[in-house]
Amino acid sequence: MKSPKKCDEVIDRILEGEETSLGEISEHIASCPSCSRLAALASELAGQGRRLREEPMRPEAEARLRARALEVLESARRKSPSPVREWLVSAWRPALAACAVALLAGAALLLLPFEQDARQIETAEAERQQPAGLRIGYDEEIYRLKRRLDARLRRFENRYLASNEFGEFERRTAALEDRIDFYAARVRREM
Amino acid sequence: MCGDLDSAAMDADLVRRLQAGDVSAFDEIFARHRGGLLAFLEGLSGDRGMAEDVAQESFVELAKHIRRINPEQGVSGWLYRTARNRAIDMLRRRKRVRLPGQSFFRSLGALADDRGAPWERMQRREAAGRVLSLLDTLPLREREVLAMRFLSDLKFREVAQALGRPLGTVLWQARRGLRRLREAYDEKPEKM
Repeated sequence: MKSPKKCDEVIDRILEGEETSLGEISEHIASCPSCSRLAALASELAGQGRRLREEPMRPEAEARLRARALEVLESARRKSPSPVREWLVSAWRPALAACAVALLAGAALLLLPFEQDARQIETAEAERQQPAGLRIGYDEEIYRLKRRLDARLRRFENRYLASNEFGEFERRTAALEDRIDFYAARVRREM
Repeated sequence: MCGDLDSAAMDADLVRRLQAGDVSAFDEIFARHRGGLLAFLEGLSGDRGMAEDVAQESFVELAKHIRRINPEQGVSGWLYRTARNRAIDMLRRRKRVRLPGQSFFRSLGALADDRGAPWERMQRREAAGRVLSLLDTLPLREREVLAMRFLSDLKFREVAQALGRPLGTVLWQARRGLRRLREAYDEKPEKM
């Protein structure tokens, strides 16, 4: 009997490697030709897997592999760096990381005022473009928030989509939408 | 689950021993992963000879880069990922990725295989020619997930780690792969 829910359960059980020959599932498999074929295929695939895993490698290939691997390991052991060199390498990494953090902090300090100015301009622009005749109160606040969202979305599109930074665009717009939702809920509570 | 943890801990210990210069750990890693890796590569390529070559290269790469491997992340994901990339490169060079008729090459490989008694060879050829030829008809992404799950007997968590894909994506690809496998069987039932 065809039952999509049971058929899905059969697939799940097969994928998890669980028993399918017991209880309701086995009754379903016996009555559903599609699941019965699937169970047979999966069982044959698993059986083939067991045979392939047990099949030995050609002895000459295995011997060649072992010889090459040992040669590589031996040459790596001979070339292993001295403790002084290892210490220098390990000391350089934190120093480089500290430089990178300092550079990023500097860049953030330089860019922050620009970000604040842009936000103020957006708010002013959104307020200026607000159409007359809107119901004063909740709708007006929501409208203002949506205008701000649109303005920032456009800015993000120009900045991130133009340079194919889709992940960053998604992250920023998601954060922005969360913020708008939060403000909308607050406005709703206060009205 | 406990078995998985033990296995991961054992792999981590072997990697640490190999990094410390204990060459015998390499033999243990080889013994633990050889069968699964060969089964996966044969499922992917349909060619035992190529599977052995790629497995050999992958184990040698492991020996070369053992110092860069994080023991906590285990060796299985690294090994399967390296082997998969090499196999795909090799298949692309042979222009055989998703070409129909791969089972023809599989049959040739099986005919050229002179190991064991004639009866065993015949059995091997027959078994290889059935369900694996259906696997060949799947798109590469689904074929590799099913090959790792069913032929190498990896857990989905290990498959996801080896392929660098989210667990949910791997599960979804496995479900779709199984459905396609059934459709392929329905189209060519006489081959089973």
